[in-house]
Amino acid sequence: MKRLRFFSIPYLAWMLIFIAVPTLILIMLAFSDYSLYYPSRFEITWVNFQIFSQSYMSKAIIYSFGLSIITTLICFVIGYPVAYYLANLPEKTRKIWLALLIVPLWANMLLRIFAWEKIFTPLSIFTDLSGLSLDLLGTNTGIVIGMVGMYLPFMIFPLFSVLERMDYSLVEAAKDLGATDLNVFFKVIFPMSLGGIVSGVIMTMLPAMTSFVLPARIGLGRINLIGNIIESKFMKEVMGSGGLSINVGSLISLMLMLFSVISFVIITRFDKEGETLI
Amino acid sequence: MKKALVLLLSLAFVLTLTACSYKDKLYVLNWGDYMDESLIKQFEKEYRIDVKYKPVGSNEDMASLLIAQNAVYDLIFPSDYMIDKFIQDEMIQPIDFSLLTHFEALEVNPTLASLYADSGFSDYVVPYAWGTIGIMYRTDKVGLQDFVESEGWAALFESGSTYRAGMYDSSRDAVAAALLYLGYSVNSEDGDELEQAESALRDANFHAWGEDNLKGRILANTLDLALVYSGDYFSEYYAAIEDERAINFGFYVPESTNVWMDAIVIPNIAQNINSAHLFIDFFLREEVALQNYEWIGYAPPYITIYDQIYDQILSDFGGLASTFDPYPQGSLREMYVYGSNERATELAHILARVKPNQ
Repeated sequence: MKRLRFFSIPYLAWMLIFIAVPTLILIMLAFSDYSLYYPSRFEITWVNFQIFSQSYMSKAIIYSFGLSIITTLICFVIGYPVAYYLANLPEKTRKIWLALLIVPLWANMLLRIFAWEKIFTPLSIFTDLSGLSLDLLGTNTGIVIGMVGMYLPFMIFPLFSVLERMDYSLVEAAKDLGATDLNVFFKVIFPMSLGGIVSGVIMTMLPAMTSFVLPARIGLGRINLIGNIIESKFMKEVMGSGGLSINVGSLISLMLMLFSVISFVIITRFDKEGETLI
Repeated sequence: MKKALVLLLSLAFVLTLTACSYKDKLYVLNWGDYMDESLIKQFEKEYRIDVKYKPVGSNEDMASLLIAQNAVYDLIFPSDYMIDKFIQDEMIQPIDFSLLTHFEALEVNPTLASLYADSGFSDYVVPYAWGTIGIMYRTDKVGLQDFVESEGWAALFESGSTYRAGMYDSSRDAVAAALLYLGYSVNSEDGDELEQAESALRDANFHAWGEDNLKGRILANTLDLALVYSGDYFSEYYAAIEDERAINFGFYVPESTNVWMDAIVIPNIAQNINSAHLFIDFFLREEVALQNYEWIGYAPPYITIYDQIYDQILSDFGGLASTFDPYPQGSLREMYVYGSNERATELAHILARVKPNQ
């Protein structure tokens, strides 16, 4: 084992350079007025927190949470039965279904967003085929459908992995003891899949909440989510703020990272072996 | 295995040979698709200078690369307001016009020259292309063309639920359009006027916010009209001709609008200043300039070239020629200046606040 440790050095170096150092820089920028572009002063300050008093920021936070919660709920309602069904399929057919779920994920995310965008135009290929017009660009419905399409597999996989490993003799035992199907589900199956539910919820909600290309394209730029504000702080406002918008962007990013870490802690509490994290 | 290795090595050798054929280098930062690259090859051959050409997507990207100072750039092609900012921050240096043998003969359009002279650009820039912002619209929507031509900027802001209007998702352009609609200067610093612009942008309740994808949305029938750069319209026009598609869109430039100009400037961090001037002068040669402007399709700022390109466009494309002149007689034109950092930040906040989020 000790000899093998050597081979982890490249990975550790990678983590240090591309995760640890950037995070430190992010923290340094978020809590200071140090301008990355015009280095002059360095003072620890809370001034970047002022962004959270802007009404457009609170709107963006509410929208990000709102849309991602709705997305997650829909993914759960669709995903749970699918995962349950998959878990109970015979080995061979299950593989085909899993492949059908995984293969689309290999297509570039941007391409899939552009595809949704095409389908949601008033006169799309969908209109040619069905005669119906899905005029959903620029609407919350369009964004939610796009997000569900994008992140549904992230709900299904963790649920599938707990349901597949579940000990079905317990289900049989419950039935033997006279529990109704509904009772079996709510008292046995559901509690045992809780770890997968927590992972699924977080793994769907986090990317949905932080997406920024999707609202810009499918939302026609009418809807600003947290991701769009971070993008603007890092890309569009740099000159005008003398580089300080980057500090504000770092702070918002840091808050999102904090949220992710907390979420991760919650997952590991429900799922001690980390088996649902794919 | 050995054969493959030899092959690979010789290939690498040939590649290094062609890549470093000339000792002198010139680092150019330009927009994508904004220069006929066969002319760059010609320049390389003639002057034995290796041109490293890097395309960027926005003025802000250009600025970031300059500020970061981790590479040499000898020539850049920023637009009006960014030129202003670079001059303010002392990031670019005056052009040595005595080294540009063809500049005088080409004759910069005097109205354009006086516009940028007002902003104090004259010593720093060699104009490269110019145009306007205006309204692109679908010609197959009943009544839309009349509406746009009679209402001008108001068409964009008061189309209500009749037409779906799109706005540029860039704080400077969106606020400028609102200021033009209200009859103020695009460079207004007046708090009250900016506040009015903000409510105009909010009340307009645009159907879409985009950048150069707005033109595509008009073609896809997601939008009926939108604020676009004249360049957006021209490129869409040429593309339609090339694909032999029917032209079902038009472009209207209201009487008073903003003029944009991209110019060649030399940053302070440039190291090959002599080659930079040679490069500029090469692109000012009449035959080179003609070929280049024909290729990029935007209005040349030089009278001699402009007239020839205009005649060509008139004979090739007819209708396009009517909007090709960025500054027709009797119209009102302004050019962006950077203003202050405070104004730039305020514009960004206005843009964030007017998004409906609904």
